[in-house]
Amino acid sequence: MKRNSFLMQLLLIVLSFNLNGQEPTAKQIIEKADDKFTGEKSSVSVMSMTIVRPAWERTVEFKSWTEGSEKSLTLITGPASEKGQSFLKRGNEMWSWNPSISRLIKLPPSMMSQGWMGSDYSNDDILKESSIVRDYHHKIVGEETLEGRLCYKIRLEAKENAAVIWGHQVRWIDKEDFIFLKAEMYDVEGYLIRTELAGDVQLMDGRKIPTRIELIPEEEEGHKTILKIREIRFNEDIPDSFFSQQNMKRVRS
Amino acid sequence: MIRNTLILIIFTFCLNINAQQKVTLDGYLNDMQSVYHMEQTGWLWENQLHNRLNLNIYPAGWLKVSIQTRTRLIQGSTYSTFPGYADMIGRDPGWLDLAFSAHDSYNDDLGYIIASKVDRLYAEFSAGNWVATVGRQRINWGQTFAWNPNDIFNSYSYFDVDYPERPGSDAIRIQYYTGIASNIELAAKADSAGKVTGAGYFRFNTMGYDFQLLGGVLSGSDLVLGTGWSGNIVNSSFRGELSYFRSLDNFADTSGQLLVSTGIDHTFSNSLWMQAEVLYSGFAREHEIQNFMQILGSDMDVRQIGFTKWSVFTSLSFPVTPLLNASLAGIWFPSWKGYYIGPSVDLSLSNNISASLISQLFSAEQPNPVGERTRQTTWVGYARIKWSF
Repeated sequence: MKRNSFLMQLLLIVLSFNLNGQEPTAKQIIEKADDKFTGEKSSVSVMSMTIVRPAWERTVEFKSWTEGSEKSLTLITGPASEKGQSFLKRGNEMWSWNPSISRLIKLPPSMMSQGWMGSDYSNDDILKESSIVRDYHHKIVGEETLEGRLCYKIRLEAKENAAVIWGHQVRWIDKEDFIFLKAEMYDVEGYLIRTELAGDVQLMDGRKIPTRIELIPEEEEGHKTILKIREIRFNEDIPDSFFSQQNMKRVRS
Repeated sequence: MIRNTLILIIFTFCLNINAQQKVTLDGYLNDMQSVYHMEQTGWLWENQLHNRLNLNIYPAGWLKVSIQTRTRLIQGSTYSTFPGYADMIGRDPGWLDLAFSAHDSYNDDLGYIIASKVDRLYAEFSAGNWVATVGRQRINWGQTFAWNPNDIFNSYSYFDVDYPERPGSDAIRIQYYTGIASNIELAAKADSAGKVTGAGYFRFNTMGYDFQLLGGVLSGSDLVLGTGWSGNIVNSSFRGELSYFRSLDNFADTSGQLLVSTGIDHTFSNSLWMQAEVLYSGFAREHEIQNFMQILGSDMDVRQIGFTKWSVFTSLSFPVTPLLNASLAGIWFPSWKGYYIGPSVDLSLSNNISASLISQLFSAEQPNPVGERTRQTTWVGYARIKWSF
């Protein structure tokens, strides 16, 4: 064990030498920041999502277990009328369980391409089918300070044949901890479609992550979706049988 | 040493309590105002205050105990109009009688009924891939939406808008999960007449489809064999259920009957959800039903889910805004020259309060007691406000 962690440290030092020795490329920065969220083997998280509109707000709370991009189990913990429903995803198949009517429903692929639970999130955001590393060309275009943190400002230009919905993106990444703090998404014509703001950087499971993410669509005044991470743990060993129909009926928060 | 162990045990126990609640209580309270119009009776009204309580207890990781009650206070002119209405509301169709009810004398024009039922009362034991459930529970083997020929344990009227949970069955059920998306089950229940329904069930997933097979005895009298599936054709869901029934008493002299439902559903990119479903029933009973009230809110034998030989269902549901959902359902009963139209809107007033407006129009050429077919049209409207907790 000891030797392992020593090796890890050594590796980190070597890596940081590398980074210090020569400025990271735009692609390396994006890769490193992206790895913070998607490069993990598994995660267990407690989150809330608030849909904000000019006249009202609604909040959904849930607990989610994921392993890679193939397996996930989500349990709705609020509001009261939806509580207890669970969603299981294995590869490209998905089921829902509704305990009040004891009904397991196999969901159609068309259901998975919807705005997620009425929010400003799209299916692509949740399932991460496109990759900001693979599907874009990257270029550092400047430095700016956000939330008191010095950030790289990077422009991501969609590759010609990539199946992505954005024409280009601009992302602000904290220079010290490689955290995405802001992103602007533009369509193919170059119009700003939405802005993402990340904040409340906290130490969770030994790493600094933004615990509040806001999605602000450009066209609609007063509309936004706020995602709050209340708890998150990475790389826990979750047995394969956890992501099963048996468990989706039994899982509790 | 012992003391240390004890402290450790207590500590673990406390941790457990902190991690997950041992007891949960939730439910809802709603008030629904209903208005009915029928040719025979004219206008009728009814108000219903309705409470549901779900109490779940988790004494250990392998054990769950659930007690759920439904209590209604009903007042209105329906009560004095339909003979036996209070008895129908108050009765328990299960093997155990877990219903309590009281009502006014029938002479009272605006009588009240108070009725309370325990509709879930079970203990669920889990060990590895095994799950055993004993007591009043819902066994739901449905795959399609409007009609479920495979749902042989808890068949219930589609038209009841205020009871999604449906009554439970007094049953013993043993499930063994053979994989991530497959299981084998054995289940048996008894009803208030002591008739036993028992069946084996096998569910599996292959080539992107869920399939199920079932076989057993229905109400002590009929052999039942069934199959069901859920999958997709391109981006739309394709689901179906087929059940075959044959009387055990007259097995040699009678042929069996089929009950088949199949349908597709699709969610469009603007979130419009569309469904279409067809039911074929070998037990068509066009002549038994004289008005809509008979089929509105009642327990049913699975063989009675089809009224006419063919029934065609379609529905649309659309979130106009994240707060307001509008839907429209329609059913066509060809041999009755009949139709059902059910528009509804649901409005979220806050995170836990919602309001609904529901309309049900039913019109068909149904036989009167003399046997003549006359067109009967019934309209029911509901306004409901619901608080979930």
